[in-house]
Amino acid sequence: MRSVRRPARPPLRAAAVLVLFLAPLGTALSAQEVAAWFASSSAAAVYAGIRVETESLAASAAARGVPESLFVRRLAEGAEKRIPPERLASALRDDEARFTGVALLLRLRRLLPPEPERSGRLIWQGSLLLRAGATSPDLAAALDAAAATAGGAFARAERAFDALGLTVSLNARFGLPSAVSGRLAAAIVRSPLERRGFASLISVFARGKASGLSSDLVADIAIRVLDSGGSFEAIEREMQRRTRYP
Amino acid sequence: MTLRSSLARAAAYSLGFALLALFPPHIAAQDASQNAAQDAAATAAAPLVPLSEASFGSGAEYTRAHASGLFAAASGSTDCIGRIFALRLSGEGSGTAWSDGSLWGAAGAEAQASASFGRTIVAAGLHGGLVNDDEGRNWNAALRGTIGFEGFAVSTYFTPRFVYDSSDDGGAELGLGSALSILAGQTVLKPNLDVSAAQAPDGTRSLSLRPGLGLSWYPGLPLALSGETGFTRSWYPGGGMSDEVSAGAELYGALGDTVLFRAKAWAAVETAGLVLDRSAGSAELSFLVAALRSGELRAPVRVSWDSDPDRGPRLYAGLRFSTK
Repeated sequence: MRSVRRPARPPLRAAAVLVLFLAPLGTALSAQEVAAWFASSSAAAVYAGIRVETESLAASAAARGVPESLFVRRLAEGAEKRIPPERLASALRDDEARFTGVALLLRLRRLLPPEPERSGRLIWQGSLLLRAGATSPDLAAALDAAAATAGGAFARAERAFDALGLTVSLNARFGLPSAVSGRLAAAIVRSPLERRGFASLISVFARGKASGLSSDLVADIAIRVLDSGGSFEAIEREMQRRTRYP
Repeated sequence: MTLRSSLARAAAYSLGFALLALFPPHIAAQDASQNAAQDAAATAAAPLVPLSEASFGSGAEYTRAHASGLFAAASGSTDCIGRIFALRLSGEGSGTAWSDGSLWGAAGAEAQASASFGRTIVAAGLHGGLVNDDEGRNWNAALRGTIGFEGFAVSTYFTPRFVYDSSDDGGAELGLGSALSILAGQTVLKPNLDVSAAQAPDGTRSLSLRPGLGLSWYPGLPLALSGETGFTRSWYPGGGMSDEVSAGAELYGALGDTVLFRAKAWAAVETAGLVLDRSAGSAELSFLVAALRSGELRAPVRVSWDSDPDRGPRLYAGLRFSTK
């Protein structure tokens, strides 16, 4: 009977254990940015009561790939707007959930750049989209489409967030059905449209709506045309074909 | 209205389901090993929303020729889109009862079938309609085809057609249009060339050639603009000839979903003596009255004019319900 050679697991396990033990040390070190803000900001005294919780949130998020600078930015924003400490703490807890959620979605699709500045920009942008009304499944759909395309991770993730930003804007203006936002964003990501051309879809929707078509139908046409490799002209032709105007 | 709406939707959905049975849409295979993008794209190719639509409108009209009138219209369509083949059936009808006792009405039905083979699309459509107006009762029919080669930035289309209209202004026409669409940033340029042979009801025959240029602009705002211009030269038996220049523009806008705006104008000028042959235009504001789960109720107000005194100027105000 042939003996089955077992893979060399022990070194990997050891590495994993080492990472688990070293991670808190890393977060403790990285939590220094928030601590530095509390030490240096003139508004810090007002927020002294939420310092421990904020440092804990930042350290916890940093362990999951979220740069601490995002918390410093939110702290500074809150202080500038004179947000009461309790409300700011509550907002930071929500932020931590959004930041770590976006970071996880990016990391699972290998779209989280290693550079803190770039990853921070993406996580910030993603969390803004969630605050503006995008849902996690919408974000996941757009990032899935981006992950399947070629190019640099940062550029692909930015394209996905731009596309989702457009659908958030379309939803605010024309009320897209909830199931359509992620699909439309994914179709835009996959299409050959340049990022600067995304906004033209707002004009396309305005044309469709003013021609008497429903938002659902315009979105459906746009998804079909973009997925089949067409552009505005093909969307326009499909809309004209369906226009009925009593 | 509610009963009519329900009946029309039920009929449209029944037709839709029957067509779905005949032309089953492509359903993405749920194979876990499939590439995520392919899976998503294939899923997107399947129907996303009910592909049956219905729309109803009713309101009051005023023209100088007929004074006031009551207008009503309804339209419906159902689409069945498969991976390669698609079929669309649509119909519409409208009528106006004028206070001077006259009755205008129009009804039409259309069937369109298309097939896509990669970047190539082949389509054919048959339209038939009846019109009752001041000229009496007339009918019209059209058979149109399309062969298109669609790219992202450049597409080209060839559209043969045969059109017949039994009215005094109509006749028979056999034509072939060809068009190129070029995407340039936020603009789509559409140079086109049309050639046609026509026979008027009085037996006059003509051959026409019309080079034209269309343009659509999508500026990234809730606003879109389209324009089209063309030069038509027609030849008649015995050496006669006429030239005409036509131009038209359409503007679309939206203030959120609450107020929609649409305006269009069109004019044709005979170059011999620069005579304005015909002009027409309209402007409409449509206000959202109620956004319902099943559709939208809007109140459109429209002003239109036409150099043909029987057709304009005209004022219309009413209500329109469109299903989602």
